[in-house]
Amino acid sequence: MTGRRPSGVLFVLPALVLLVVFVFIPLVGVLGLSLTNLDLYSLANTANLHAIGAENYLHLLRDRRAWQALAATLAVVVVGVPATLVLSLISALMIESIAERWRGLFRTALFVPVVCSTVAIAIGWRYLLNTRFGLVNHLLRVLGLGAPNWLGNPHLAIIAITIVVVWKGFGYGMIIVAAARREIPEELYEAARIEGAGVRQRLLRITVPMLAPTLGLLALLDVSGYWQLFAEPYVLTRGGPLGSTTSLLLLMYDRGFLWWRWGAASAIAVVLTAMMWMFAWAQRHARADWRGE
Amino acid sequence: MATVEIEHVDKVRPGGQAVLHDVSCAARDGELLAVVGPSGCGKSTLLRLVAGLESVTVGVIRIGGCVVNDLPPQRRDVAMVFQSHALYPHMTVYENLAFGLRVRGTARRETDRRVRQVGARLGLEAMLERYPRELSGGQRQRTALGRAMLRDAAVFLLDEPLSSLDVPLRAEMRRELAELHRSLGTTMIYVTHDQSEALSLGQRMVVLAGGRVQQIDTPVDVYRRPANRFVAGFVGWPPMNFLRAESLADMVGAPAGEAGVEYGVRPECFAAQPGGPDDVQFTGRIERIESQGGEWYLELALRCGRVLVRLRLEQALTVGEPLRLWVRRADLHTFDATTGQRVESSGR
Amino acid sequence: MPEPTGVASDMGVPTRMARAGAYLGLAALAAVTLFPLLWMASIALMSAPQAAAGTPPLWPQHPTLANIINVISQQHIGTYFFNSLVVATATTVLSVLVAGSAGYALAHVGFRGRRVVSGLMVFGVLIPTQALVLPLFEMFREVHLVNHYAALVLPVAANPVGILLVQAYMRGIPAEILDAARIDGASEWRIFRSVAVPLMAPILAAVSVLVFVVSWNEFMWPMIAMQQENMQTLPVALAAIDREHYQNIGLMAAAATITMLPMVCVFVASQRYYLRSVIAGSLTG
Repeated sequence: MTGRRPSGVLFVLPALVLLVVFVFIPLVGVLGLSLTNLDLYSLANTANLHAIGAENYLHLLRDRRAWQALAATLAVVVVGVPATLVLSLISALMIESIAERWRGLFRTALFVPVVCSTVAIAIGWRYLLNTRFGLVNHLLRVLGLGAPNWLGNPHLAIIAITIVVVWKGFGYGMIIVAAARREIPEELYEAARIEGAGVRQRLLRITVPMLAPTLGLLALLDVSGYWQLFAEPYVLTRGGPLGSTTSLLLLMYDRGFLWWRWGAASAIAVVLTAMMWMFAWAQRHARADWRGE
Repeated sequence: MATVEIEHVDKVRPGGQAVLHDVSCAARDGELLAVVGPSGCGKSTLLRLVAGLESVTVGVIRIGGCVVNDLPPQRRDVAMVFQSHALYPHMTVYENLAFGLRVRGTARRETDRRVRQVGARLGLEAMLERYPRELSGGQRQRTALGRAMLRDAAVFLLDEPLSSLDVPLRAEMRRELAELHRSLGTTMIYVTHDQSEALSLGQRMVVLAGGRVQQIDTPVDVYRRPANRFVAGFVGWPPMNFLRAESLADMVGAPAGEAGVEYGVRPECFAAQPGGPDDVQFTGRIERIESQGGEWYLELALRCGRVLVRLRLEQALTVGEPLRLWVRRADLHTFDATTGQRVESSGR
Repeated sequence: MPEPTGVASDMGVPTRMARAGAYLGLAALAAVTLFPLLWMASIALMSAPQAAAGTPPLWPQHPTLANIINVISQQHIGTYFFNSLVVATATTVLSVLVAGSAGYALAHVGFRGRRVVSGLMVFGVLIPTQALVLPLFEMFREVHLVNHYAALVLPVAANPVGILLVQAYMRGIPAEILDAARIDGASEWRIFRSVAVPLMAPILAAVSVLVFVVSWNEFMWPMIAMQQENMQTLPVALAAIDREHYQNIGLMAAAATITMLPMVCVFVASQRYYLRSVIAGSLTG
């Protein structure tokens, strides 16, 4: 590599500097902040600023709202991710089974929500879900199914948010699954047909297993996206009713920027990050197990 | 014009993998030196070391008498033709040819003149505005050669330049390359895994295996007097037959070999009649016959093994028949069975 | 199971009925995804009384631009639009430069510590950046860059996903082409400019669309970093207008449509590149 070493570093230097300054340093920073009592009082007078060790974390353990936020976020992830995966898979398989010239049209139609601003989407859905005037309840009334108070009922509100999240997100997975489906050699299906495998068997014995690695990866992408749920509850319910739709990130935002309790808010951020790494780690192991078979 | 001298070069990859051990060889001024060896023998690495694309771990490389170990590629006065041709896919043939000149700040008019001149010489005039993907394999090959020619370098380095072409085209390009070398008179180092290419193109050839030089000689001498068992088996097609010392029993008139030697006979060296008094005589049974027009490929079962025989013979042959064949004493190669090195028979 | 022969065995639903079912299912899904968006655009064109009358109808009776004019004149949506455009454009340009050079070097230029840097990029993908807004805000406050475009551009300019995309793409390009340029005598910078960048053009296009859309839609950090109203981007402003005027459905629909429409257009126009980056992004994981 005669005379080349310095320039290689120069090419990555901008990326490296930006990442270190704006990602890695803040990452250490948030961990540091979470060990302090930084709040409005210590902001005003730094003499009040102390390192308080794990106190913020111990506090979180006893904090009913933190547990509630964890439960709400987990609920969206646990219900929303499988729902998204199923919708992504079904729509991808449907897209791949129709005539080539119609695929582009449906791909665009199902993908459009992905590129739309979450805030704008949430505003639209708030009108759709309005108890008295919303179109959703209008349809339910026509069908004689009553008119639930979607955003006012703590149990329904988190479901409503999950619906919006899935509605906006499944098109992304559809594109990825469809691409992976195209990678499955057609000979496999032909061989299976010759061996007498029916439609269902081909779907369950070939398509789904062959797509499993892709679905696993997609699950991780969806989990990490939904885990950072923020704009939907911020606009749709402002975390209510009764805190039932406050996500971890929304709780962090409220504590940090409404109440200026930075130490406490940082502890939430650290927990959120750590749990996301756990998901990534678990997914990696699941994938390794799959490959190991 | 320049010589290329490679002296005691070792190359160890960053991971600790040794690719070349104590390689020494030299290309004389204006010579076409073929470097041949099985894949993974380090021949491409050797070429990249000369080009300056990689750096030597130990040893010295001289081009035109100057040590170039620390010079970047552009200052070594070398041109290179790559296995994949490595044409810039986003540039037309003209731009591909002109790129090197432009980079070196050649005047536009001069660049144009020289690009057209080289293009004409290689029969690419009509192709200059095309993109590489619109060219045939041979045209791509010529463009890559043209790029090297425009480099006006003292040394041409060619890394398997014909391997991506199909067989008939390969033969044609081989002729063109030889012609080009004759007319340019540039020193060329030609790397290939195809021994027949090295035999036909090289003025001398370097046989490389396992990162070590096995033999450096003219093609004729490499073929006639392979330095060791590896070279004997690698150069020449179909490959040489090897017979253990015990199979002496099959041969009549063979030199009384010491224990621990191995004999080698090329398939084409068998004859149906004795040519001289001290010819070696083989007797065996025909196992398999394959006709190639005027030639026969026979598998002959001796008592201690089988040999492949290429024979020109009018009479018909039958499987199962016994057959007696003769080999000239000089065509019987002897190798040390443990070291594999050639043992010079006293007869020569 | 009896099946008509000669029908393509695609996805294992070869029968004509199954195919019809696929069209039907897709049409239903498309209706569900498109309807809310189209209806919003429709409401944006309705007169105030029509929009406010219980459940708004599907179609404006007398299409009017009143809501849109109102959003522009009363709510200064033009300012926010301009801010969004500046931020998204600057972020795109910067991150394409950063990702292009870094991805290229990671794939094709040897240097000490390349594997470490590569590993850092992969690690970077796994960091939930929204969890870092507290220290980030403090950093920008210290250097007085809160309420500056730089606060929105710099933190996302080094996009690990974009870098990995470029790296993966460049790995598919034979190193011999770059070696040929070295032999031709080009400097490393010249090789990057004249050979690598043209070769990377497709993936750079994909990354730029991806970054542009993501940057345009960013919400949490811009809301925190842009506290001055005239510096806000569209989604932030939209949320602010919503807090005040959420009862004015026509006005909100107009503002939301103005926020979304540019991205829908960008997506439709550059679909080929955009979808490629989505697919490639999933393969680097």
